[in-house]
Amino acid sequence: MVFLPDESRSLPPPPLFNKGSAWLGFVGWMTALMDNTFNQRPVLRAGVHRQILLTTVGWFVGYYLTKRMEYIYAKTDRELLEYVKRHPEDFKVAGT
Amino acid sequence: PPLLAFTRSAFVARKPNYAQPNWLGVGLAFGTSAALWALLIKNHNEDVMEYERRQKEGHRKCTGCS
Repeated sequence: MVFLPDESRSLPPPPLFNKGSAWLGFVGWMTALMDNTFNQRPVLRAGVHRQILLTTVGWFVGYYLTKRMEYIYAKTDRELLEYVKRHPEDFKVAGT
Repeated sequence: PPLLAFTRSAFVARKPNYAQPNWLGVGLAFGTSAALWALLIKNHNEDVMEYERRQKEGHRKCTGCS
């Protein structure tokens, strides 16, 4: 099971800043801030390298997950529309 | 059960020193972040170019569908 098949490259790639990457980047950042809280460190000023690393990891994972999600949606749409095309008798417009 | 507990050998265990920055950790964190960003941006740009190249090529019918 390939994460991103070759035909996914025929789709327009999502922008670097997309809902998946932004959200998971934010989650990563919050994780770093929570880690600061649990270890009784200054929340924003401590462990900036950790904050940056976790934000980056979240962003990275979010980008590829979004890419896969868009591919799955496009594939489903293609299969759906192919089916509709092949069975026109089942999809007559009302009244005709 | 004791097997599930995380144990360290008393011969090498150390109390963490919070007086000084853990420069190795900091370096690894920044290095990894830089590497991940570089990889992400490079892959994104390659994907954009590949998409535009395929658009120019024109659509071939159904390559190994589904």
